[in-house]
Amino acid sequence: MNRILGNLKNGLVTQNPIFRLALGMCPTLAITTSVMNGLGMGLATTFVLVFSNLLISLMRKVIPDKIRIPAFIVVIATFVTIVEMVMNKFMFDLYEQLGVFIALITVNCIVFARAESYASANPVFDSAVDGFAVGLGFTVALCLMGLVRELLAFGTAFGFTVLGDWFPRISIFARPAGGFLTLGLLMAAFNAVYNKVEKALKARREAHAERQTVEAEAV
Amino acid sequence: MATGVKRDILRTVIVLSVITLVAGILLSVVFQITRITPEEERQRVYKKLNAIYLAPNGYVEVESRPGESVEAFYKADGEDYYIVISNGAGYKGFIQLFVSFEGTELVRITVGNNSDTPGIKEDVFKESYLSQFHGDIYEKDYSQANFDAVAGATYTSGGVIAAARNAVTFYKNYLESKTPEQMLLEKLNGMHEARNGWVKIETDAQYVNGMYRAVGEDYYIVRSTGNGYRSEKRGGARIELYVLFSGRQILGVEMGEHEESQGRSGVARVLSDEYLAQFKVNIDNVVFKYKDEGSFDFDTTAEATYTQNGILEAVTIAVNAYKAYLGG
Repeated sequence: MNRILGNLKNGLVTQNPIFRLALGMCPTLAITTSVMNGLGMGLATTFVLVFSNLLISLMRKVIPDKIRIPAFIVVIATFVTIVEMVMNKFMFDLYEQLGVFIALITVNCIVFARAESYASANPVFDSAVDGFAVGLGFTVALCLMGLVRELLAFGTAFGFTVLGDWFPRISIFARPAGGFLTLGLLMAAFNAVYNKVEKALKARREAHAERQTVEAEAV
Repeated sequence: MATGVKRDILRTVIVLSVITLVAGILLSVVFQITRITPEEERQRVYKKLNAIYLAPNGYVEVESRPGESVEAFYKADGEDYYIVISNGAGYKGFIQLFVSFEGTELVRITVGNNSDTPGIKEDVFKESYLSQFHGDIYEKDYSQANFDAVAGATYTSGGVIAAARNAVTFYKNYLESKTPEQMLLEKLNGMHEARNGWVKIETDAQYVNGMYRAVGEDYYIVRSTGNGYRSEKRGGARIELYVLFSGRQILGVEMGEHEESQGRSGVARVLSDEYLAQFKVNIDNVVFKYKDEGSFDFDTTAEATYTQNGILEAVTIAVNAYKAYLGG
């Protein structure tokens, strides 16, 4: 249980692919003009992460080291193609919105990094949980980016008007420059909070250890 | 050593082959499940078309892939409403437009697929910008120079202008290439879709341009005329009406050719479908008269008296011709 929670914390916070590792920047900047796009891309990537991690972990002892990269790419591309076909059939509007970026999940370095660094060296269940956690972290980050950009550029969230006509639309946030700006600001905020919390936790741990030492000495 | 290398190569080939084979099988299964049928493809297009204009009887494809700059051409079934799907080169590839026409008038433009830059393209895709293309295609000049480009979105504006012009050119060609027979057939089928086509009935009734019967069905259309304002006062053409009958019932009345001025609100009201709907009656229950032949059984307005008289005359002539044909 602790291992699962540790994996989740890792994917969502400590090794959040966007805010901490700065991976997968291409879709992050390109498709986060709305929350729905972010959610769609995040969930599609999560599906690919979970199943590619699962399969790669399952075959980790069979795949020769020399051909692991082409083997990983075939596995990842298969799941991406499945996602693409399913989206085209059942979520056509979203499929049209995301366009070429669905196919580009194949070369998303987050997916490849998890396959190479985690799934190829860990058991099946752990690898699937790791894929889910990292996918979740990616989805949350994309949704956050999409929310900020959609609000500032169009005054809407999930397509519903949130900010009335009184709010001046800042159209730059719908453009690539606005994407970089949002990413930089959110990344800075995320890391500032993360460092502060880490520092506080470290101080608390040290104080706790010191108290235990004092108590041990007193005994 | 050589045996070890051979074994490695063999293992590599087998592993990669198995992975690709399994992937191939999996993908073909998913493909079979998620395959888009031509019907679904059509439904997707019809969904888009119905979002633009809800056609009660749906849409029919008039022409598929008619040209480079025109992707498709649809007609609202039984109505004089057409949608041309055209495209024009924008900033990042083609901009797709759904251009709607009613008769000879461009009535609406809806933007379809495009990859132009969000945050910039919105100013061009706004209704206030797109409405500059609305109007009668034979009265409005659709030259490129006559349309404004949005500052900062010149390429996107250019793409929209090009797509709109492509649609207008195509639609004009379509209208002009139709023979009078085709136009008549379309009009008749617009009122009632005849399963086996229409046949002309010989009639010597005065002021009747034609009488038609749906083959193997109890549907008749009489194309009659009446004396309207232009014909009475200015020596212009008579007002033409198409009156659809079945049994003893008038099922519909539609305007044909006329020269009445639609700019006047009273005339426009009299020529409207709402006004003409009052004639959908049983021909035995109502007295059909016109001009000074006494009181009418139909609504009249103080405005557009001559045009009203012309319509009443045309309906009465149609009813009389139909009754004469039936022998009643």
